[in-house]
Amino acid sequence: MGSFNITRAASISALTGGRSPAGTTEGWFSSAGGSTDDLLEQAISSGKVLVYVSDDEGVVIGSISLGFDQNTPIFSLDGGPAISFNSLPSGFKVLGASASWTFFSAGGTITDFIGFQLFNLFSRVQQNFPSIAGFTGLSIPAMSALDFIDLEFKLDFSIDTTGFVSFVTCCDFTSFSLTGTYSIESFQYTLKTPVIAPTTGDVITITSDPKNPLHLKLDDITTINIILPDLTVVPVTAIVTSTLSEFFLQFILPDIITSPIITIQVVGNGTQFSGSIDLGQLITIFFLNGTGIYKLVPGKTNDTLYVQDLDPVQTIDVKIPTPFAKTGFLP
Amino acid sequence: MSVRDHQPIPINTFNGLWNLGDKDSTPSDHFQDCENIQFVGNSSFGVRPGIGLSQDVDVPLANIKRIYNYPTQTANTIIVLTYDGTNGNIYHVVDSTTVFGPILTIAGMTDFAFISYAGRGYISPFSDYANGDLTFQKGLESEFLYVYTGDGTAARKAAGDALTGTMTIANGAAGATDPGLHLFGFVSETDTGYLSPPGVLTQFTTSAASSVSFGSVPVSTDLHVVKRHLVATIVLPTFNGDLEGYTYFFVPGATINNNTDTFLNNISFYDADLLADASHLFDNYSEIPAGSSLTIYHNRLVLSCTFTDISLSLVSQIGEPEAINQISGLIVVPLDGNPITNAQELRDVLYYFKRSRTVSYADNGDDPSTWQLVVVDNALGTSVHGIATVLDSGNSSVDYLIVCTYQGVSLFNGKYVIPELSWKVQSRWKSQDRNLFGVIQIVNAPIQKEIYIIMTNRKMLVGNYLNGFDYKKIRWSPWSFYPGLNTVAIANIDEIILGCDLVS
Repeated sequence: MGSFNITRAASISALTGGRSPAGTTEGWFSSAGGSTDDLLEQAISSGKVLVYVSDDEGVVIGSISLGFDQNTPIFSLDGGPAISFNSLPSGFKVLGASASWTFFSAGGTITDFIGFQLFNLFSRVQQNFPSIAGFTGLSIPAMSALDFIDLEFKLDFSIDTTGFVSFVTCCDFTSFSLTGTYSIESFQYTLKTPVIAPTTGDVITITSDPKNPLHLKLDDITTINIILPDLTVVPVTAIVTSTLSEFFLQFILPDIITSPIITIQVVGNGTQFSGSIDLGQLITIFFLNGTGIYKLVPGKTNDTLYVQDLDPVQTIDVKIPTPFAKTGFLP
Repeated sequence: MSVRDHQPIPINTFNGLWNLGDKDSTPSDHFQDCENIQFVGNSSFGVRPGIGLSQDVDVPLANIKRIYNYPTQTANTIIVLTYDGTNGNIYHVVDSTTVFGPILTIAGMTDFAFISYAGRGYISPFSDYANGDLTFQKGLESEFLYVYTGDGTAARKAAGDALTGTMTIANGAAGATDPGLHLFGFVSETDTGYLSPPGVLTQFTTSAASSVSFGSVPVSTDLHVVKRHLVATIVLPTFNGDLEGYTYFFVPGATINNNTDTFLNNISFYDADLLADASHLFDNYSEIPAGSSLTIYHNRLVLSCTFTDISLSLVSQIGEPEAINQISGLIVVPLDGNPITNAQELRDVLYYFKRSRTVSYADNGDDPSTWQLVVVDNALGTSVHGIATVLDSGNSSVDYLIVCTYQGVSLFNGKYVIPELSWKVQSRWKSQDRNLFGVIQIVNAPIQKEIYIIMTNRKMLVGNYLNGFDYKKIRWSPWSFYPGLNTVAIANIDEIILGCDLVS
């Protein structure tokens, strides 16, 4: 088990009030400045300050929504450098998480709320702050890493600055953080192919043993990916049959596979695990570089081929391709 | 009539694939279609044998284009061509764990001809060329015949140049010669026995009571030269100044047995001792152009279809495969726009094949250029690998040839036997693209009583003749493999070796 925190947002998905580079014009800015990068760096970072300022008199309304994705390094595990969701270790699972921040408003009376809508796991949180005060702490139930990145985080507020024209209205959100604990789960499963070396159109089966308490829950898998040697990700669709279950999952090897060596990867929905797990490698026969020198071996019931694309070169046993005989027409 | 009343038709034998005309005409004891089956005994069949690895090394050879048997003096090995898309590399595979090479690397070498002679391997690179709609094979442009000694050292160009430079000649110690003007020279000999044209030609007048001594004899720049032989003319009453215009003979016992010494002293000889003629060496190729066919006939190397002369055949001196006379060693098969594809000896006759023509020449004891042409067949011929090799000889069968012609696989015993051996699979055979006939390779394995043919689709057609070697009794079955086949050979009497390339 370890701890993690989300270091920054990947994008600003919505912004009301605009950005304020100088801090004297209405808009959002961070303690480091008003650029987008500054906002992203500072919006979620413990001890930093995200500020909305306005020198207008009247009701000032601002909101900022932060976006997340799977490729931006936002997860810091155990204080390490940030990595992306896709780089999370296999079996990464969020055990628990919490969000906290401190709010401080100066120069006005808050008449509405500060809203906190995180990842649709929460209904909109509304807190009225009748006085200049701080607010800290809101726990987040156990969730998956995918939840953290699929949805957005939003801060809303509305302040009536009437009567405070001589002041600059300032709303500070400080010490905002998203932190939690995680574990690396390992599961038991079996990757089956109809033949030793499958080809396009072959059905690949993943099974889990119900008797094994560590079995991989196949109905918690959201995506099946085929990873090519150049790291190209080819998503495939599971075959929906009556046998599809927690213990049984099938998919068809697509015809766009052009590599003899592929990796089968599954992505969890967060219930059992988050992130992705590599189930193993398959050596596909159709594109196999099986060139080399062979000999006929009397009595041998299969073909053994070189796998020249592997370093070092390996071998693989494959079936003899479709032996058959069809007799002549019988009157 | 109810099913119960149907008369059963027992099928006691399975005689293989029938691919001739309408499928409904398939005899009941044949297969309309089949794949990857082999015949067991006289009437049964099962799944073909699987293939295993022939090499047990960390980096097995890949992209195999051609395999030949290479019987050395001590072992039966194979010679293998790989092609990486740019360069052809030839390796000598001694056994499953020992590989020499590449012993030869040539850009554009997609195929090669090979013949083993006296333990040495002769290699001729060739490739495909287009002539209008026709694709055929001929010797690689600006390339040559190579010789490989079989010990892992790189193959080198066959033949070689004459020694160059000057030498000094003086009377030696007391001895004996026929006095008078002689012309002297040296012939270098390589480790493969090749004798160069006489070089360093120098005139000297000998004295009756003196031997002759030679100094400053040039050494050859060819590192494979192991000896230098003295050659001389008889006494010349007159000399017209043409050093190469006279008959030279080997001087008995006058040899420098290395390529380092620069002297040969005190040589005595009489003109009557000069029996072994060396003059023909002047007319030999110093470098032999590459061709698409190599064979041995009457102890002569026969190379055919060079890049510049597709109907030309070069025939060596007897027992000297690198000594090919540029005048008397040439045979020109009648020009018809088609290249010589193959040459093979059968019953003391040398047969030449083009894609649709067969002619023959018989050794009359004289120079090859005097051998008489006999037209054998004006319609049937074969391709570059279209004559079956037998066992591990890399050569013809005992008293017949098995020839892949456009009509099918035919027995050839001086004439093509009709119907052809592949009569039962005629439709399949004739559906092949003739421009791809260069892919076809055939071997005959008498131990298994099977012939193995690489087809143009890079699959294999196997003919089992356990029940008889004729067009009715042979049993055919196509075999396929995941990698595409390019070549087949037989090693160690009955081991079938396959060479595979990427799936096309």
